[in-house]
Amino acid sequence: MTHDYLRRVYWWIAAAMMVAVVAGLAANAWFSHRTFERALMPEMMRKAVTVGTSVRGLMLKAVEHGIDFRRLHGVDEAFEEIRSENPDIAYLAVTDMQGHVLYQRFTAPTGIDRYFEGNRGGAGDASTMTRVADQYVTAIEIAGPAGSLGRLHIGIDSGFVGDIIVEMMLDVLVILVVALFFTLELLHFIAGARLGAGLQAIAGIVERGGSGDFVRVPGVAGAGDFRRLRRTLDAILERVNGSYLALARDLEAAQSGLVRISAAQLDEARLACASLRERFRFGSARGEGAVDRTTCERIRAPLFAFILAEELTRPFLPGYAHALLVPIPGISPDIVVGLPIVVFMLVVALGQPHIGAFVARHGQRKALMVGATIASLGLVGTSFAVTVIDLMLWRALCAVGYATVFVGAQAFVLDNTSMADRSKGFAIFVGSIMVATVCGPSIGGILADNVGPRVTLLVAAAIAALSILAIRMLPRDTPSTTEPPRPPQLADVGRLMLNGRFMTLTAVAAMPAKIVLTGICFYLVPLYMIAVGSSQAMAGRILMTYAVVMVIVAPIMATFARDRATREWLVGGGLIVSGLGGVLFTFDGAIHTVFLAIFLVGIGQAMSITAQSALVGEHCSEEVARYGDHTVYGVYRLLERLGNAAGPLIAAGLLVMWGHRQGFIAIGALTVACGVLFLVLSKRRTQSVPDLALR
Amino acid sequence: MNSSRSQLVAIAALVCLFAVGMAALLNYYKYRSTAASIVKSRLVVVGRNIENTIQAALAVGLAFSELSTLPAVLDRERRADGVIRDILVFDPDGNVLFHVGDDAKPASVASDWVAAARSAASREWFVESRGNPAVGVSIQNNFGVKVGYLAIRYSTASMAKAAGQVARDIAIGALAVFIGAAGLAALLVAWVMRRVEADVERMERALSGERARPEGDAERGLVERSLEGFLAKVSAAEAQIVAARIKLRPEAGQ
Repeated sequence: MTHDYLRRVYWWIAAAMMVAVVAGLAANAWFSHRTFERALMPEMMRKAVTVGTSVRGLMLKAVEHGIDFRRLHGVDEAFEEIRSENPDIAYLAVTDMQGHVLYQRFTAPTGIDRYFEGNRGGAGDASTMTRVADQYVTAIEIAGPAGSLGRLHIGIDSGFVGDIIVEMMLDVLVILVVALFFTLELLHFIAGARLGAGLQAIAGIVERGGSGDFVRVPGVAGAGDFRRLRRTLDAILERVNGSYLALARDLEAAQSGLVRISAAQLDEARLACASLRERFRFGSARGEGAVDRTTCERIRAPLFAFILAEELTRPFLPGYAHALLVPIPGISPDIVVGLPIVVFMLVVALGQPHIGAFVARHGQRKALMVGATIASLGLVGTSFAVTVIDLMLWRALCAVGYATVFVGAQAFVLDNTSMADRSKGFAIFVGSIMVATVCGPSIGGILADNVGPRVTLLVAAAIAALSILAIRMLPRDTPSTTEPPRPPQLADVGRLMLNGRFMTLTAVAAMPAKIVLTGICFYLVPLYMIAVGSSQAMAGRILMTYAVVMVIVAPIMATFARDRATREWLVGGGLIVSGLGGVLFTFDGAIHTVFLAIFLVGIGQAMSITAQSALVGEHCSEEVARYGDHTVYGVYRLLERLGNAAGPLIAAGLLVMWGHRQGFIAIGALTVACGVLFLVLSKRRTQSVPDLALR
Repeated sequence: MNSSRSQLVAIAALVCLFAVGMAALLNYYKYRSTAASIVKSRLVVVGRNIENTIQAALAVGLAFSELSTLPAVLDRERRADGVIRDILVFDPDGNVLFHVGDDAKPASVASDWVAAARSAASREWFVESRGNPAVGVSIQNNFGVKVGYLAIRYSTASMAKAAGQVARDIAIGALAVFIGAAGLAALLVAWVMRRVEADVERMERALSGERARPEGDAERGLVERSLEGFLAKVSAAEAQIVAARIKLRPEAGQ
């Protein structure tokens, strides 16, 4: 009951907020239209006058050569040429001193005759514009040595301001989508804890009571909303338990002979009590209900803010690195551009296993604060980077912070969930990251396009610093007294790398999935957008598509992944679908193709991501039994993350050899091939199992 | 409940602030880039006019150095447009051939100008050096060979002033829109929360024995059906307890 009801309440609130946001954005667009018209029209008018002056010069030159002003040749052609160079001009006309039209071209606005009648004569005020139907018209005097000859009228389509507003609509749409996710995130974090706690407490009592469980849970009437209702419910439980307690006392008194009743009566009463205990549960829970289920939710905001800060950089980082390029002997500039991403991914991959020990030693809250502080400093440094070399160092610092926060947040979820609600806890963790990946790149792209990448990086640093404030609100934890899990050793990696089953899953599926993600999404797309003359905002929108697809499709695919039989198909199929995204570039390299490609990469990743992890335990059960699941999963994650680091390097190599489009195609084809190979190898493995069993 | 409502209103305000603020930011930068591109395109028209004059002279066989009337043409064009600071004509190596402007004639132009002029994909080029923006046009002879470049350096002071005014207008408008949107959001959120409170009040009434029958839409019915189940179990348990206690009374067996 509660989950559906709470979800419905959230959606109602989100819808209410979105209605207000849409109304606000519409009002803002209307207001902008007015402001733009007022501010830009004078600029347009000055341009029109400059253009008109040029035309007037040509006419006067002809008149100076003795040609009759009323019989000039080639005026239409001159007007055509002007229009081709200045598409904002909607109408051009020349009138004589009486206001009669001598020459005109293009679409005359309705009512222009009345305008000409009212603007007879020569001297015109070029500093004013008159609105005539859907055009703004200005006039300049055509005066030769013999005096005034007439006027040149230039009409500008008033719709040009509307066109500017329409151009901005894509960005406004992005803002709307981000606002929606932002709303849901804030609802979960700020209001969700109270509303959720309140509704959960009510539902807990009602549902347990509905099944005959009247055990009172301590603290149920405490924090959260609907306290009066919860107290009422708790009072009912207290009453029922009180009655039962009175019955127990009566029975005890009868058994001890304090109350004289017959043996038959006593037996009947005993039977009635036994029946009651069978049907119902009474008493008070000691401590078990005191666990605050909402604590886990509190990681959501700091994690969201922190990941958002990092995600802001995605659409412009390669372009930023390109702007800071310095020659590095023996390395192609295209590869150098990818190195900051490679360094970041490499530090995260190699650092994460060791950071677990740091988190265990110092506690999650402290680790999270340290990580966020390091990343904030790294982002500030990134914003002031002078060359690509120091940029790499700053990115390495960001990576240390990122890995620390990531591991710290994971540990927080583990510590604040029981086995029963662990998957729910990790859904909060993953959900928070995914929402940040929806919001970050799109907003980062818009900011980078407008205020520049350096300021955007400072904004990212500020958001990362803001996450520290949210981290401070987390409950204090004590450092773990147990030994932290041992990071995978080189020997473990070596042993598992020689294992066919493990490597089929890791090298043929997990690593290519990450290579296609970082190679295409994080490296090739931002650079390709610059190469085709598009913007960083467009790169951000494209990356947002990936995240939106993941947010929507991944939970659906996760339900399919519960079925063991479909997992291999999901992993292999996911790789093939992802790869087809790259292969699409064989048709063309238009922006819509990039969108479609990233959409397919998103679908593919959503298909394989959950099934892949589940297959580790399934395909490598012998290895798990031999080396322990921590080692097997540790090596698997390490190699997967090395795939993240390899992606931009491979993409850069392909870019150097063949160019952007071919780079997309090659990575795509490689991924498709890996998908097919994975399916063939895993099917052969499953078929060989019964064969072995028959022998 | 009141604190949740105020938190939700705060969220609504925050979301509206984000959306309206981002839109206002976009508007401002869009205005700036559009106004800058209009000014640039206007100066390109001026540049092309001068280029036509130069080409006409070159077409009759005059050399650059023989264009004695060019400084007057340049000066007239410069005075015709208030934003123009200097007009320069320079050769492909960056040596200045003609110059009109308030400053003294430089011997050569900055290297980034030459680089921008050479690498331009079209005949027009732009340089955005800090405080020194310029619009340029390549000058070609009759055979389509680039023989030099024309650069118009312009002032951004008037654009900055206009942008300041627009920023103020946008900020005031955005503030008004934000207040309106946040107010609307607060009203709508209050309406949603009123519905939730009504559900809770109905549950409270049901618990106090006033009414325990489902009513309203399916979801409310669901809430109340759960409650009905709870109350039924409570009644059953209490009835069974009462029955058992009656059996334990001394007079019950007699």
